[in-house]
Amino acid sequence: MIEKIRAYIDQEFSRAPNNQKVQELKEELISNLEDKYKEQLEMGKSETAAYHFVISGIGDLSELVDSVRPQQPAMPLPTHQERVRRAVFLSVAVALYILSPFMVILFSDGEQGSAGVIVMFLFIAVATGLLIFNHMTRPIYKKTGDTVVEDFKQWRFESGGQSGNVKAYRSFRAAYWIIVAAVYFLVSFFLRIWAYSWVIFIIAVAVEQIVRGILLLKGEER
Amino acid sequence: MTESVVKKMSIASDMLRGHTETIILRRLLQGDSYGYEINKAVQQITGGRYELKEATLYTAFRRLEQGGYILSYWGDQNTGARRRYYSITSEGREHYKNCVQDWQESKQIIDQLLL
Repeated sequence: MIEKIRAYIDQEFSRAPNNQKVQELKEELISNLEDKYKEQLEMGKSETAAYHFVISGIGDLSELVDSVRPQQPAMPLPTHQERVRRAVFLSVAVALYILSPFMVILFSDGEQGSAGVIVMFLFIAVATGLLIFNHMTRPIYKKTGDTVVEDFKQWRFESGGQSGNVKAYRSFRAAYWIIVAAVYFLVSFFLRIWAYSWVIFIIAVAVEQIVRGILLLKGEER
Repeated sequence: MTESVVKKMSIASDMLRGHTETIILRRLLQGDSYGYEINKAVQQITGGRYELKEATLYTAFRRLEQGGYILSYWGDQNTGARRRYYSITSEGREHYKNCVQDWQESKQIIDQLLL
């Protein structure tokens, strides 16, 4: 009969996620119900009567079950602070890229020709590090439960929500980078500015971000 | 049991249910306790006239804990099944005092209006 009480509670909590909080609540409930059941037996009730007495005394558990279910899926929207931080990191990284060739000029006046190159690569390394850090710390929608709904939410989050815009953006990006590469080689070959022309890629990243921003803003307006 | 008696009882327990949290806090003022013990005390004090439903009791525990009025901890396992004990916090004592004050005021008003 104690197993039947356990089964009843399991059934009632079947809508709740199977996490530690819920497990503890169920354990607490079952151990208290067992006490009650045993006491009914000691008072001379039959097992069936004691079981029905215990079950009928539980009441409507739906509110309790709801209280341990995840409320809103925790979809962390970037705070204003976080967005500012990201913008600062990106700007600093781009600035470092742009400044890095000047270091060669600045530090290569004397005999130590290699110092400028070292500083340049140091700048590039820091800038790349910042970009990677920025990307890695971007909040990712984490699944709160193993349901189809959660999977769908994650898929929607990953695909950015506005399907039309996302498709447009994807096809734009595919063509965009090929064009950027072509422009880079053309400009470098014809103008012979190999030393500086790689800046095109940084500008290209910036332009890409701007285009993305415009698309996102348009999506929000709709 | 006739229909009118059932109705009367449900109205009374509706009113009582609104005070579940205060009832729990009052019991915990006597010392740390767990769900079934609290409910048994409620039964004994009322001479078997009132008993909390488990659903009501444990929902109230969760709410009180979220409000910081009570704390919970797991008792030792020597006695067999693991039990979750509750203890009242200083915020809980404060909250209890306010609830009692509120009740005394509404009791006065209802008495004045009804008697």
